[in-house]
Amino acid sequence: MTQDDPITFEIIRHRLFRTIEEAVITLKQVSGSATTNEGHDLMVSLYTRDGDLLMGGVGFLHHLTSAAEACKAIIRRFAGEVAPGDIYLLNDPYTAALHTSDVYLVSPIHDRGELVAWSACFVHVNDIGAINPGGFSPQARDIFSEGFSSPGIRIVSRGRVCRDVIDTLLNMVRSPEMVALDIRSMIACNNVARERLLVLIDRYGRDAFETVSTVLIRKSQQLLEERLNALPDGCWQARQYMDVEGEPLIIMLTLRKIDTRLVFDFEGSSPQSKYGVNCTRWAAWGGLMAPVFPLLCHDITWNEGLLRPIEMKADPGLVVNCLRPAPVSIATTAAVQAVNNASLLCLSKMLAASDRFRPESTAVWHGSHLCLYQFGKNQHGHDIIGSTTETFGGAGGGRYLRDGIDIGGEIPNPISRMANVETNEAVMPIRYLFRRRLRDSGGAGRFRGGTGGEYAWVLHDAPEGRFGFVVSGKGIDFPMAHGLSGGYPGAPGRYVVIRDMDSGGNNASKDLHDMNGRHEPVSWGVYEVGPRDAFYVRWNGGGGYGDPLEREPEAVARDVREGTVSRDVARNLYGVMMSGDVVDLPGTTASRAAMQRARAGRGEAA
Amino acid sequence: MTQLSTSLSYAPGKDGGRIGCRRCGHELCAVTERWKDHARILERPLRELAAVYTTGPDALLREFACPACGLVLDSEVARRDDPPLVEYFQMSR
Repeated sequence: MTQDDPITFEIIRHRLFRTIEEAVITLKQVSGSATTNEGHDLMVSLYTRDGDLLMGGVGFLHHLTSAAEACKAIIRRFAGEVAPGDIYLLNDPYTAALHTSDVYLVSPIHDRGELVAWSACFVHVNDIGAINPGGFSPQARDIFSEGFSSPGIRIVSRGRVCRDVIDTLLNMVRSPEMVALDIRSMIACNNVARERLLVLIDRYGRDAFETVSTVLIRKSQQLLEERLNALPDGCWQARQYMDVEGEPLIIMLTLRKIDTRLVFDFEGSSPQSKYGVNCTRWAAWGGLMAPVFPLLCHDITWNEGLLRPIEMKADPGLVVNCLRPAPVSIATTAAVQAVNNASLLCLSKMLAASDRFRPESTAVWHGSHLCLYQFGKNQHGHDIIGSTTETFGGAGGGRYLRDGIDIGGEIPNPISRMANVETNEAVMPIRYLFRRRLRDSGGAGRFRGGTGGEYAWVLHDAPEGRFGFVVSGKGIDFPMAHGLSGGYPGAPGRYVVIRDMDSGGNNASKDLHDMNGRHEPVSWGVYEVGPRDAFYVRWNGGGGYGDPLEREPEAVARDVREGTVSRDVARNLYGVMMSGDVVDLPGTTASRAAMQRARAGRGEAA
Repeated sequence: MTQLSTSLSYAPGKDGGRIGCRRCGHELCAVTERWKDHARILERPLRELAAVYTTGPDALLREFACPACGLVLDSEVARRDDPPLVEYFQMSR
């Protein structure tokens, strides 16, 4: 089989992707975790025999490149010992992983005894034995407090599960039955990936598989270089502030595009932090590449070829390239996400400079994850740890010709979603008071950002009369979903514990302002919610695109009618005056003209 | 006339060409210069945008507006002393 047989080539390419999709289905069906099933906090991909990315799958795209490094680390560590049917676990961030909770399972795939490929997957396991439940550890000050961490260990040997190894791991975590299920789901996932790939090889031959693999990588590189060559050269910057305990850390990113090369440089970023918001070099590379796949390469196969034209510069000791033993447990929702946002902004500015590619540009989607884990005894008497998964609901960024999607997900995980409230109430001792879109949270713009959301819950049938949570918020003091081309950032997140409410657990408030207890804003640490308390959470909206005064007045009026924009914001940010539920066109024209004159320095706004 | 972004235009000419406002055509500067130096810079606390912008006191919205028509050409989240983000276009290709 050669390139001269394009039909077989396309069939094999498609079956490689279907292999991943089937493995993802297996992962979800075996897993019992809401984070995996509802949030889709997962990834499955295929790698070449050398560990290069062969076929990137769906899920969190930050992991496509880090899992490649995990494969290579296993190849180095177990040189000469890798056998058919083996499966290896790796979760050390200083080797390849993003943080200890995102556990990689890496499997060699042998055809008639010869290594031909690797499959790799990850899920965020329910617990990893870190100082705080759930793995995000605001109290950790080094990697040693962030739980079990392995640079590579065999957990399945020639098809036989190494019980002693897995039992040792489960002995170090808080929720062993759930973590056991997490691991079982990943083993099943890798087994399916291996079986399906071997069926493909059996059907079309190993030569055909290897030819297609080689050509796919070469072709992806060629297509990306052609795309880059069609874009203008230039230099674009983006800056993200990560507020942690009142101290903003800066992620500064400069993109230089020259011919068919992209060079990303983190010069000007903050030194590594004492808090676990740092990320390692591999994690920064993953965050940098995640927006490249969907923005620049949505129609190109995601593999090693896309990495070759791209270079990253990050000095050791920066918050985006921290040195061991700096803590990194919050990396995925902190530095990695900030890098992702900055990369997206730089890429979008570059795309916006091209008439042909401008429609691909977008403001930031879902700038900051909530990073919230609940824990305690549930109504069934079980000790549980888990996320209610609203953080995966996200918020779409405004685009060149369209609004961002309300609670519309995020760029680095195209399949993310959140659980129904009933799903959460079934396993946690909580009752939701409300959950909905958050008015005015979408960044203003010619095309506005999608709204984020807000929710609140109280205890319900909590056997211990309390339920804990771990929070490591960012995007509180500084919004992280920035706008593009004059669009405004989406509103920031917020967490409030309302203490000692008059109505206690019978509370039926429908709004934060209705809650008559003592309002205690929180953003970092470990807290408990008691029987007379409520917990309120707000997550950030997407960034806006373009000048808000260029938004169609009728679109603003529609937002007001639907409750996603208030009349105050319609007037103050969009310059839209309304008479009842309809636009006052003369008033709007006059209002906008006055605002534009004021901006130009030729008078005061009306 | 081509666009350099949704809000900026480019016209070939002296010094490698000129950057202008996409809406009104006002010429800002040569493409080799920092165009933001030629825009009106407006700063305000982000918490003034709306009640849900419960941001810290140092978080500002910085806008770069056309000095002729008032179109917002670009915006960024910034602290007061942080320099504007660099944007540079190489139009030789």
